[in-house]
Amino acid sequence: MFFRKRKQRVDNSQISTEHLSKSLQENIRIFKESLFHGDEAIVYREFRTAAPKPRDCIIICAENMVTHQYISEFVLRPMMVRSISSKSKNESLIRYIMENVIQTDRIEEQGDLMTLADAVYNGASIILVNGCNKAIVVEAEGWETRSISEPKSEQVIRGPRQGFVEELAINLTLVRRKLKSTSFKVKNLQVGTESKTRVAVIYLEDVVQEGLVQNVIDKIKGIQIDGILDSGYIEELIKDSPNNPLPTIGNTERPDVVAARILEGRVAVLVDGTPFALTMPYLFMEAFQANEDYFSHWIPGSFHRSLRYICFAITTITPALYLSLGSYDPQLLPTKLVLAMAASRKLVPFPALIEVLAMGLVFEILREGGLRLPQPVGEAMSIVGAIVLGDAAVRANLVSAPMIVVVAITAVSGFVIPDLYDTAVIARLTLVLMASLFGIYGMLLGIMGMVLLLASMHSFGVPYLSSLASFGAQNMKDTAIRAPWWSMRLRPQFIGSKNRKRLNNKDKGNQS
Amino acid sequence: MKKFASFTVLMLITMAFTGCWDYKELELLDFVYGVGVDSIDPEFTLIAEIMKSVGAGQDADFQSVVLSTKGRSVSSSGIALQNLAAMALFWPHAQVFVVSEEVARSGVLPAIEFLIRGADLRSSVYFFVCRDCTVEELFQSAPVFEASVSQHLANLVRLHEDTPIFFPQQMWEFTRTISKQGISATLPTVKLVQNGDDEVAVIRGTAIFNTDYMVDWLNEEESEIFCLIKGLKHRGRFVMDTLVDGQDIPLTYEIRGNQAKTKIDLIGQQIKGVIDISLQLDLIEIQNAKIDLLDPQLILFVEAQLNAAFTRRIRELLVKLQGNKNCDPIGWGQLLKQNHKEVWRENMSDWCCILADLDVEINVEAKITSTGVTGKSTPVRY
Repeated sequence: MFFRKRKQRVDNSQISTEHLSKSLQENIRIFKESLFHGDEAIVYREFRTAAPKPRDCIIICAENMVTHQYISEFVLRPMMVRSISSKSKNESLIRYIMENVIQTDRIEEQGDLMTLADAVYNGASIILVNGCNKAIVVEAEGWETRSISEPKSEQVIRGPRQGFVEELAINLTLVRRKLKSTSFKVKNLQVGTESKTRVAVIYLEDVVQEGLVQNVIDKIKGIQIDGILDSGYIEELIKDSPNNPLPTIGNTERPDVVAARILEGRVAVLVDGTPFALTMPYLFMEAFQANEDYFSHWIPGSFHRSLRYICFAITTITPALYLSLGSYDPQLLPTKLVLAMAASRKLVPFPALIEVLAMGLVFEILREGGLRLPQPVGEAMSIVGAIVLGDAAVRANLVSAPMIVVVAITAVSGFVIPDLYDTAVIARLTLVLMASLFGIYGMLLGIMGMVLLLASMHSFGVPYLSSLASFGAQNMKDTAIRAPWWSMRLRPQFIGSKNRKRLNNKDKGNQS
Repeated sequence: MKKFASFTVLMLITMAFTGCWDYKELELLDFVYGVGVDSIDPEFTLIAEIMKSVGAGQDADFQSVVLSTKGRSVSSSGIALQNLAAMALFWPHAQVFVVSEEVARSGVLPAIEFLIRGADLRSSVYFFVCRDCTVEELFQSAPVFEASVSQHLANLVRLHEDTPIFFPQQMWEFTRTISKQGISATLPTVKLVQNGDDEVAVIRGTAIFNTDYMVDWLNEEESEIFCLIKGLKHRGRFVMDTLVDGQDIPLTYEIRGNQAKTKIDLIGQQIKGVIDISLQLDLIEIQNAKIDLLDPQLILFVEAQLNAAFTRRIRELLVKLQGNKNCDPIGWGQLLKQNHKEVWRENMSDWCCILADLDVEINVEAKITSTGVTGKSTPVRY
């Protein structure tokens, strides 16, 4: 495939002209011998319009990328059964056919060869007419797509069950159905010299901050890459602090999440071929927000939000705390606990640091293994790993029982904040190393460094900790807790400052 | 760059002074539960009760081991103790510190100085004096439920809220008291009592100190009254012979509340101490006495007897305390210093003489607030 692309690029350079000629045979030759040379998946359907003055025509399309029945019924059939006016020539003839013969909605004329070739690869059909140096592009894409289903990585108990699919047009529709405002805007871009991936930048014009959309568009336009196969490519190529593993661009498979973020003043980027949409700016506290918080009552929603912060602290700090307290400051532990820990470690041959690192590594191996395997096998492997291996390791005195508890609680807590899972692993390892060198002091120093790093970060010009650090009453309402909807009257200060008001009710909803 | 360099230097300097360099593996430590000093002259005899785990992992059990060594100082004895144990001893989990009567009478400061200033032992460790036994004998006694005597003593201190018959002191409280003017330190005393074939440690009585020298004991009853004056005894039970229905019957009372206040009054040039005690009591056990507990006259009569009995007991305790020269565990001198600084300065040098003859007014108001669920004694018919 890659060789074919390379060959094609060489052939393209041999094209003497950039535009169609009036000779149909010459145009067919260019397409067959230069643009689509060697591509057997391109369909060339030559036909002739009806008498008394028949004209030679051709339809060119990519096989299985168009709705063939649609083309036959609404393009081929009208052109073949209907007589084309002999008085019209060239562009006026093309316009005549577009206005009077072809019965489809998305249709345009085009004369640029490369644009026509791109159109074919994007699923359009092009119609060339003898004597015309313009072609008609009929957009009648049609290929098999995955049906809309609930995303497995973002399942909810209560809330919409729709998830994005790999088709950009469908994804755009899913978002537009939630935001029917005239303020909702879409900017189409194309990225990738070879993949020519379609990218849509979507936002609410009345809410989004000045300059943000242009900033995003400029950054995407600046990408010079051969192909974009997933939104992750774009995320990494346009994010602030590219070497920092902390996410500064959000991603989601859910249209409701994209709509909610756009409503707050963010910009979303949809990429053709992937169900993952990008949203920006992305703040640290967004990792702790889940769409279900907003669908359930605000008290359980706030409880779950707080739980995520606690779990993040647990998954990041617990191994380092275990190590520093056990190895440097056992006097801070309750006497009975320290005795139990000492007894459990009595026959373990490794130092506590090796124990912590080895168990962390084993867990990550099990997780990675379970993740890539088919679901039933993966589940079985998780059970083997978690129960059998853990129990056997303790019985064989390879690790102490408290260490298994530490690893288990660390792992379970990590799964509560999936957006920060990878970051938490790195933070955890850093803190463990700091704690192994300097005890509690080292751990606290590491935490301090991490807070400083977070405080210094930006996402598209917005401070990464802005909502948490600003201490404004309105900003804090959607951070550690999820305040009731009737009290969240304003959009986040740093994101939706152009039009902050989002709730007009002065009372608590429609209470009587 | 300059900021980064400053930050790095600052962090390195801070780290170098944290004292967090002593990495240790838990399994290589032996945890000291209790420490004691039996003698300081000619050599320090240091006793430690150490927790030893028998078995490992889920099958682990814990046993206490008592080790004793001698040395020219407490710290050198500690090193000797570690050599004896052949394990690194970990001191911060020690819960009790005990000195023998011999050490208490010769001054406890040499025994505790290293521990007060050092970081090895927590300042919240409970401090006791052994009575009628040595520290080694105490640590080798057989607690009924706990694996160690130290834990047994720590449990007794925790029960103190329910049975306040002694005045618990942590190491920091003792050292703070001996460094103050106008008040003398006290320590609870520990003794061994027979329980079947074994001896069990109990906390009974109080040791009275003049600076860091022990000068006298208070017995169990005296300690209770001492706790009452100090305002500690908010609950607890006591039995008192009470005249009802023409005969002395041992009635049992439960203390429900105690508001005790000690103060110094100046009447002209005369210094006078005042003890005001207000007690709320429940009459909880009358044995076989045939009395009507709903009779208000009877209750008033019993309350009057309680007032008189408590006043008498307090007076007896004060006489005993004032008999020890220069010893002021109630803290009359401190009260004078706090409230009448000029008078304290004038009388500071003669305070021991003034204290011996200090006139103390005692006001006790005992109130019976409850007499149980039924108002009458249990009827028995023949």
